[in-house]
Amino acid sequence: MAVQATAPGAKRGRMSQRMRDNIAGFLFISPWLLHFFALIAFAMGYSLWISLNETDLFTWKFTGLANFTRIWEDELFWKSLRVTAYYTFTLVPLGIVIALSIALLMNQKVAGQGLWRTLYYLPSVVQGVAVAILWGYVLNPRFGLLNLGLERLGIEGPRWLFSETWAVPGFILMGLWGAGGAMLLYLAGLQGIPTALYEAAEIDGANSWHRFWYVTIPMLTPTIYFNLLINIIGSFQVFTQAYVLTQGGPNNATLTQVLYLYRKGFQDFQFGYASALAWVLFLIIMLFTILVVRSSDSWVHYEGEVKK
Amino acid sequence: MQQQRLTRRDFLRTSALAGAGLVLVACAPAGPGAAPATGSEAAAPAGEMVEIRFMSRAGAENNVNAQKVLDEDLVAQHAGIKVAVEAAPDGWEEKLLAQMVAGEAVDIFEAWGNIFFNWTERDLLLDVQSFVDRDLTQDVVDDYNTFQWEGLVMRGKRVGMPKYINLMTVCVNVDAFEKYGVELPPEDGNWTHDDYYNIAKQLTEAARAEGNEGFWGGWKPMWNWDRFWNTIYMFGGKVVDEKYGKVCLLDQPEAQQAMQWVYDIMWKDNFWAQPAQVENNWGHANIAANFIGYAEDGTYPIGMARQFEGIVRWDLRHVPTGPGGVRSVLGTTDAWSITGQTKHPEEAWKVLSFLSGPTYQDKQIVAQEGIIPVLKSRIATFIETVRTVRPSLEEVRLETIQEVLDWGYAEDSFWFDKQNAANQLIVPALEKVFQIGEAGPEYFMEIAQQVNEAQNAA
Repeated sequence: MAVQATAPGAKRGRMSQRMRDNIAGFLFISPWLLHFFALIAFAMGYSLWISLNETDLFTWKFTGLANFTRIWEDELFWKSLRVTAYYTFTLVPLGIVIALSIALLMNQKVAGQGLWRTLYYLPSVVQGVAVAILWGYVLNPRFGLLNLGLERLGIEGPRWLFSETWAVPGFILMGLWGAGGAMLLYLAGLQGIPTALYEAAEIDGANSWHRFWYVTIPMLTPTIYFNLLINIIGSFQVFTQAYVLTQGGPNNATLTQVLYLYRKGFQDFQFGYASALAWVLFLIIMLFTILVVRSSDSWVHYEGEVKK
Repeated sequence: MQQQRLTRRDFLRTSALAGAGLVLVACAPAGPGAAPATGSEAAAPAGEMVEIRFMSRAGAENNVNAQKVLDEDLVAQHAGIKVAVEAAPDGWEEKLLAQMVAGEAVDIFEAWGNIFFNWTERDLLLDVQSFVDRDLTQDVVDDYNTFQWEGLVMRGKRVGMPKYINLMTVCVNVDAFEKYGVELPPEDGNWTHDDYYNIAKQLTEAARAEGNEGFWGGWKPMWNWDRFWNTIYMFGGKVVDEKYGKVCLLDQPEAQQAMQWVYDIMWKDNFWAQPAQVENNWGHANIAANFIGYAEDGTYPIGMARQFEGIVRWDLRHVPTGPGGVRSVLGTTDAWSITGQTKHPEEAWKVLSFLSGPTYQDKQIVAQEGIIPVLKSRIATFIETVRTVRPSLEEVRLETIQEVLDWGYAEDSFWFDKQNAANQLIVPALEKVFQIGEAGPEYFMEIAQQVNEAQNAA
């Protein structure tokens, strides 16, 4: 405990040390707090207010929950929800499986291990519009690398972004391209599993599959849990690919929720409705987040945890 | 004596205090008499220089000359006005809208039909009709092309002054026609849609006979909102019953026949390229890549010369007539407009009329940007000037442009009462039928009904 020496004759401050510490703490986090309240909390609150109005930001008419009830009857909203849900609930599990598989491979002691890890990680560094444009070429039905590769295997590739059926799978492939980021997390998780557990399992007669299923997977569940949550939240907000490559087409096959609300706001000037759509999306994401968090007790295992 | 050391805690505390203080100062509103937030000069007293902010979409290489012409020639006519040219950023539509909400929009910007339509409905644009009535003589007004002049009146408001004309013509790949032994379309425009079909067929079959699977006779972006309707007009049909109408006519026999014609040539016979077959490239890019023999597309002589020079020889032809002898193409309403928030409407109007007047049209639109000027009286000069700038244009029948305007078959686009609602239904349907070919034109029987319902919905 620090001993405070008070110089003879100096006045004693009114604030206690604890209060001074609290004030100092708040000052230290004040930049973040200002950012949060000014740019996030205020924006969310204002957006909620907008959603209760019929507004193009120049004229305002309070309509209460009318925008929210309108969503229920909006066919395009349901279409965009189906597209987004299809994208999310295909991409997320596939992404976990692929990233974990790559991590397992990268965890093997092979020559050039560092190089391989870098190569698998690099794609996840490139984001956004650049990836979308690149994959626009890869998915080209005539000249794209993907269909040229399939042709070599004797398979006639689909029309990808020029097909209602194959456009979203094309986006999913684009999403899987960034599996290297999650791979790194799984790799770190794999390397954190105590070898004693594997040794004990081996002594008990576990083969490699048993060791993977009963040791590796349970010990990785915290990492899987994190990736699952983050990817669900991120995937529901898919926008760039649809905006850059297809503008929601063909025939709304890639009309994602965020693209739809963007259109409603910036093209149709219905900012009130667009804000309501944003809040509904927030609630949908929140719902799935809560489901995952609530379920985590049953399938996420932490090292040293004792389950009752 | 003990030395006072600056502890780490004290340093962090002081830094946090200083940072919070800086943020508060930055967020503090400007005091009275302080310079406006945009950084521009405060409103000048009467008689002093007025600055007009002009958002230009002409591109960095063209904006330099634009600024020069405005600095020299505009000032010579209007000494008290200075124009600051600002390059339009990516996503300029959303950014300009945000500026309008914030009250910091530029004075003049460039846009076209759909944008003006949406923004006019929200009173975001200055109606310049009163300025036109006051300052422009009938001779000056008559020098503008009717489709543009009338097209820029939306919901009873004149939304701006024309910037340039984009006309649809048929750009032909002369090299491909010669290579495959097919006669070029006639220069006098005396050809029909049957000829259109036959020429595409001959080109495609000749290419296939040579083993070239990557070449098609023609191309037209029938899935595009701005480009599909003229074919329907040429077959005697319409998209909507009247301007700002509520009845969609895409289920009518004439419209169906027109769409069936295009669907067959694209998806049944494949004599016109499908988008996926040409990397979803646009018309002129497909010609430059030797994917197609002709394209129905916009007309930008100098830009096209630049694109094709040394790669492919090209020429311009009229679109063919439809079955009823009707010819129709889109004539665009690209224009400049004054934002409703401008603090200097009078000065902004002077700049606007200068931009649309002969000096700027000659020195910037024609000589620098190489696009079609809006004044009928400048077309002949335009053709001469662009041929001087690009001698290769001597080989191109630019007179076609003059004839399109003289024959008067360029038209403004169609307008529904609820244009966005119609767009939301028709565009996906156009994509389904023409971009990916997963339905035939009969799909529009259902879509037309949905459009009608949407037009009549509350």
